[in-house]
Amino acid sequence: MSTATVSPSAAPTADGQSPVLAVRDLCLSFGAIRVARDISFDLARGERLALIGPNGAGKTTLINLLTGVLKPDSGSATLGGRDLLALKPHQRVRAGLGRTYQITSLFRAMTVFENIFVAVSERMGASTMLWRPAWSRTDVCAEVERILEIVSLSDVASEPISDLPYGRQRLVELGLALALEPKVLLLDEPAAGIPHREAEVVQRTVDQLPDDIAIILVEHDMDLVFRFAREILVLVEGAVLRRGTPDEIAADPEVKRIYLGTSE
Amino acid sequence: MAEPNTLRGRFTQVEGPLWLLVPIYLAAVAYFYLMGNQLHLGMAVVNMIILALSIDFILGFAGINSLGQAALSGAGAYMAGFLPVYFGWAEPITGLLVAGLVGAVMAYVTGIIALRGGELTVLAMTIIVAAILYEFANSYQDITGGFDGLRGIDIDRVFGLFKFDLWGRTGFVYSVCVLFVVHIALRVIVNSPFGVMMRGLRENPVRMRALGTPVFHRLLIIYAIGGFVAGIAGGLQTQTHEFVSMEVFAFHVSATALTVVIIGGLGRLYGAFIGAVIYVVFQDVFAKMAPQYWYFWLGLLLVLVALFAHGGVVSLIDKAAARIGLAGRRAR
Ligand SMILES: Nc1ncnc2c1ncn2[C@@H]1O[C@H](COP(=O)(O)OP(=O)(O)OP(=O)(O)O)[C@@H](O)[C@H]1O
Ligand SMILES: [Mg+2]
Repeated sequence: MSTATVSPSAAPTADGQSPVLAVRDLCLSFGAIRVARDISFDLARGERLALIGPNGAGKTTLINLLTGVLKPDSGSATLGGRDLLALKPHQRVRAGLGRTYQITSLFRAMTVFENIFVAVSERMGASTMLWRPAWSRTDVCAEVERILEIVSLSDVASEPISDLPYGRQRLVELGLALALEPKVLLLDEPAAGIPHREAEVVQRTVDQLPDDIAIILVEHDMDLVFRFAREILVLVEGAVLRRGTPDEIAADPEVKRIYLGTSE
Repeated sequence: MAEPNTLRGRFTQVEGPLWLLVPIYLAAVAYFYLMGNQLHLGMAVVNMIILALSIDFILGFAGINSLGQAALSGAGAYMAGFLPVYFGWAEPITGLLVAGLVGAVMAYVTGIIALRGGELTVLAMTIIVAAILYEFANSYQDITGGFDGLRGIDIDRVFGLFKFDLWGRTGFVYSVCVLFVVHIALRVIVNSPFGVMMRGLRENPVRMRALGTPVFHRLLIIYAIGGFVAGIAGGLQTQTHEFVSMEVFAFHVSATALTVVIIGGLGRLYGAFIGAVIYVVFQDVFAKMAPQYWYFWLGLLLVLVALFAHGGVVSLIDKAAARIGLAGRRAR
């Protein structure tokens, strides 16, 4: 798994060895700009993969292709053996693909608790229930409190999002993704643009995410990348440049030249 | 695990406390006994509240922009007239339910097209649907009665006991009872998990989709529920007046109901109550003073609300209540 080579096709069997996410030859162009070029990679269950690359390399684009915000020109992707690209965006979520947004996207006039509640109640099939008060669904509420605990937001559960500092809003963003119980979680720069002290909480939370979730982390902060990742995928101009362990990537001359060199 | 009571505090309080129901419906009782010669005005207010509730439900709670609510209420209004005239079905309560169903079906079917686009598309589509129905009613005057109205509507006694009388005594009580049922039902819905989901759709539909919500389908259901309530409002008007004309599809019906909700406060059920009362009183006072200028005063009121009471009059009441420590956190 530590090389860039991949098996020719994703095995559809459900045994623990087959990748939970398999991406093959994804291509996308915006006019003349090719933002995704033959991107292929596998993601094992519980994997911790960091996705790095210079600004505009196509990292967010790749996430958008996987979640269905964008449609690829060609290529394929399977999630747990299912054809991911054939699913509608909300079906991909239900199939186990969760994400956070590089720019926070929350329900601003609602409380922190309600934000997570929306996600949990959707997953638990409660959001079509019309006749009982939301707070009487103690099963959903218990799950919401469990998630608030994980992202250390229990103390502000009753606050509206708009009253929260940005750093803690990032944690809500993370909580929303967790609430979906994803098999694969795509984190797009979860700590971007927040003060160091709060970034620390986000990082610690990311470190402590449940083991069985496979995570792709998009991140510019190399300290966080090296602390988090078991493997790193380097994207440059829409194409996969390298994939390897943090040590391998750190030692790779070309990566140094193209990526680390420019950021140092 | 926290108790349901503490849990309740974690949710935005979108409705006033339960005891508020008592003074509001007591006021209706008092009106009945004190203003016996003004019951038709009271009925108009109640009718307006129900129609405004239907808009508040879809726009204030779920963010569906509609300027064509008259299409839904009008469909209900005509159904309530067609039933006794063409089908010999004059029982009021079942008739009202059928009117509501027609409103719901109308919303669902037109929503399939109208709810596809962005906010402006929805706005334009709802206007167009109401305009088409208006022309329809105009083209088939032998069936609808056109401007002059549908003749021969004769509604049975309520529960076989209370005849719709000229003074509007039965009509008023019947209307208030219908309002009460609709109000309670909507109150239950906006406090339910479905209601929380609705507010999520209003705040951020894109994110809802990313949480696995089938957004379009949910909006359709919400629009249909709103259509049901609008259909009830229309049906009620037909039954209590024993009259319906193509005016029920007119643009000003939709615009008025929307104005009422904006004045009262979007996203709060009581906004519809307050807005309707203010609107009708305002109309009564200023239209008597200078009929040709009354829209000017209405416009001025809207401007004032936009400037000083963003969130409608109900938000002012919220602030006042919060100051004396009465209410919890307000919505929006
Ligand atoms: N909707 C669009 N239309 C045209 N070009 C786009 C669009 N979205 C992104 N791009 C371009 O695609 C390229 C990849 O953008 P993307 O946002 O995926 O980069 P990124 O790796 O996430 O960068 P960053 O680290 O700054 O977040 C950029 O050159 C960007 O300008
Ligand atoms: Mg990006």
